[in-house]
Amino acid sequence: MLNSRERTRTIVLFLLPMLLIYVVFAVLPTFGSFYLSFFGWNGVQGSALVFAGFDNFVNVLSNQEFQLSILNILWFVFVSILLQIVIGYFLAFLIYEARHFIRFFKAAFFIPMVLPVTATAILWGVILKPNDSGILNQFFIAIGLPQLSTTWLIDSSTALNSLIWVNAWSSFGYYMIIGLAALAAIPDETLEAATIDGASKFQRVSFIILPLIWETIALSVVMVITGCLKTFDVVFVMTAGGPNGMTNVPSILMYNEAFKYNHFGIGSAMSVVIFVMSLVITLLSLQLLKKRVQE
Amino acid sequence: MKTSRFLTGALLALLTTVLVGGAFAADKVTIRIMTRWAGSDPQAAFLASVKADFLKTHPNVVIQDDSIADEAAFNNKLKIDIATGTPPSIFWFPAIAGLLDWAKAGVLMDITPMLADKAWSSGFIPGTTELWSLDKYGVKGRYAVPFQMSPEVIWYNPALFAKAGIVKVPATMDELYAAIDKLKAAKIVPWGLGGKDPWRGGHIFNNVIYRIVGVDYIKDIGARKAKWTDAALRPAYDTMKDLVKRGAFDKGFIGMSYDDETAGFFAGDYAMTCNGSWFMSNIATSKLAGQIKFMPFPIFKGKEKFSGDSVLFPGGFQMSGKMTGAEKDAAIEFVKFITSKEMTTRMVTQYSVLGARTDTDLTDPNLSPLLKEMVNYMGTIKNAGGDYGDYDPDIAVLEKIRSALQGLMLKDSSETAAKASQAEIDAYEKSRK
Repeated sequence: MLNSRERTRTIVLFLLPMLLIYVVFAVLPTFGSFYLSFFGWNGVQGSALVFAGFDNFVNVLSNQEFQLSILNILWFVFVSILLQIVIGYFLAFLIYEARHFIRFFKAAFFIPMVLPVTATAILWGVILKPNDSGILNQFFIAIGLPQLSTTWLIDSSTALNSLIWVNAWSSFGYYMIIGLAALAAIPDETLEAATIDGASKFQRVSFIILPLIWETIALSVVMVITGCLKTFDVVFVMTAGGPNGMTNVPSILMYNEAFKYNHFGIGSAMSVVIFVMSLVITLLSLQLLKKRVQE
Repeated sequence: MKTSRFLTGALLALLTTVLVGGAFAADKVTIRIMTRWAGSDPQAAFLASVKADFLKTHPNVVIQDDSIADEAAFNNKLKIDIATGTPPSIFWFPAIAGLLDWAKAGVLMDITPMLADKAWSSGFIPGTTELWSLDKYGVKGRYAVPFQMSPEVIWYNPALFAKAGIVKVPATMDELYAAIDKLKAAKIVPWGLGGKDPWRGGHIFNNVIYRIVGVDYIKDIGARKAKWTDAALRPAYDTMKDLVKRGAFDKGFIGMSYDDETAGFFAGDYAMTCNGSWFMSNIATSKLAGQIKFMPFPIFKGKEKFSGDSVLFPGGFQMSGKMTGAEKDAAIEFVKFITSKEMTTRMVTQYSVLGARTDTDLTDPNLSPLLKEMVNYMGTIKNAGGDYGDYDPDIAVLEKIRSALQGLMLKDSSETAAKASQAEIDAYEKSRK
């Protein structure tokens, strides 16, 4: 039997390799990015870092393209929370209440999560093709609703929302699983007692289940926010931020500045802005959701 | 006891293998090549054949081919290699003025000393060895070895033209517009364009601007003697807008990729596509092989003096400026080999990729008529221009203008697109002050 000191040492020893990897590949590059954001650098080893002070940040924040990308990502986050959390937890409820084919439904709704995001984006790119050869447009034409067919990924009213939908489609299975785990943790006796006391299904869900799983929902919201704020792959593959920057998100611009235009200082400044934004939005959300729990 | 003897023996064997292997490896020279020729690209097969032949006479050389077909992945890897001080020995990057920062930092090798080998260098098309000269940008030297020249033309399906009643191949823009109208009347999509890939619109724009203002005007913009907002260039933006208004392209073309465009062309859905001479290899393996023809980009009324100003994409091998000793010697040998008369002849005749030499042997009677026609066409180009972005030291110009063109073809005015094009240059110049 290990004593306290030996136990602590064993825990630290087991955590150390992963911690080292995390520090070397995540923490240090983050600090590196912070540092680089105050300089101009063209990405060539040996080239001078030219001190720019806050110029990079002024440049980034006053850039209209970046401003549009911020608006886009805020909308992306807002709609994603509604889609991913609501659909994910709704499916969790349905499966929780189901009596048959539970494993089948769990697997079926989780499969999109398992697919590589690039493959998902290419698949939906074919479905949402803007002319009559697009699968969705063909479907609408086939069922006699050609007026619903549109240029999904190039129309300003549908392009960004299409990307949000694809991202949500590949993610809600994850929140379904989290929801199922939270529901499974509710003691049966609590729900039985409520039933005996005459609570309807709606009352059980509203006054017992939801409050008990609210912290899990809060955590899921935070995960949706942080995941969406750094969305890159779906947008890059489906539209690359176009046409003409219409569906740009900050991560795409950051990639373009650093890897296309060799403006590593500006790219780093964008990453710092994204980091700060993520932190602020996450903390705000946690505060709001914490208040709800306390109420 | 037995276990420890076994372990000791195994360790000794491992150590011996590493040392001996290391000793053998020390005699080998590794050169790293990085291009976009990978996968099903016929140029990948060409590169593989050249490597195989080179290694027969250079058994001590190891050629590591790090080529990647996807543009984004290629750019990422190349930029990371350069940022970490380990550029490939030989690579291909489509830029001229955009090489300035790399040349200044010593990432690129000045190939001028190589040109002293007249037996090799005298066979290049005159002027091609100067294409990557950065003298006018303040850095002496030449920074790529010319390798291939790719004229850009309009490929068309004669069967669809005949179906629409087009008897004469358009030589002027008015004739092209008339052809577009006839094709539309025959319910044929006139022009395939994968507008989602911004470079597709950019390639048409290359042709339009060289026919309207000439190649030298675009070079002047790079030298900051002219601007994208000049009145002379407004008709170029108007033309791009006109093509959309006239219905030249498919519905939703801005959301379609280059793959969609080529698939549609070879399926007989589109009558025309604007593409470089590399398209010959796509044609050769398609169901329309032997049927497709090409025409030079039409001439604008009143701009006949620019009829010889045409798009001709130069391709060149950059070489790492960090190489020394055996690696440098091997890399130089390889570049000379791949750009030699024999290898260029192979590239042209067997892979339908046009080279940058005048001494290519084209006497093979089995050469495709299309290839011979393309070689002849190349000879008519008086003033060749690559991508407009090749001549600008700001490498962001290429993408920014392509993005502006997408906006133009969607809803923006010519004035907005021109201003967006120039805004990038103005911001670049301001940042350098």
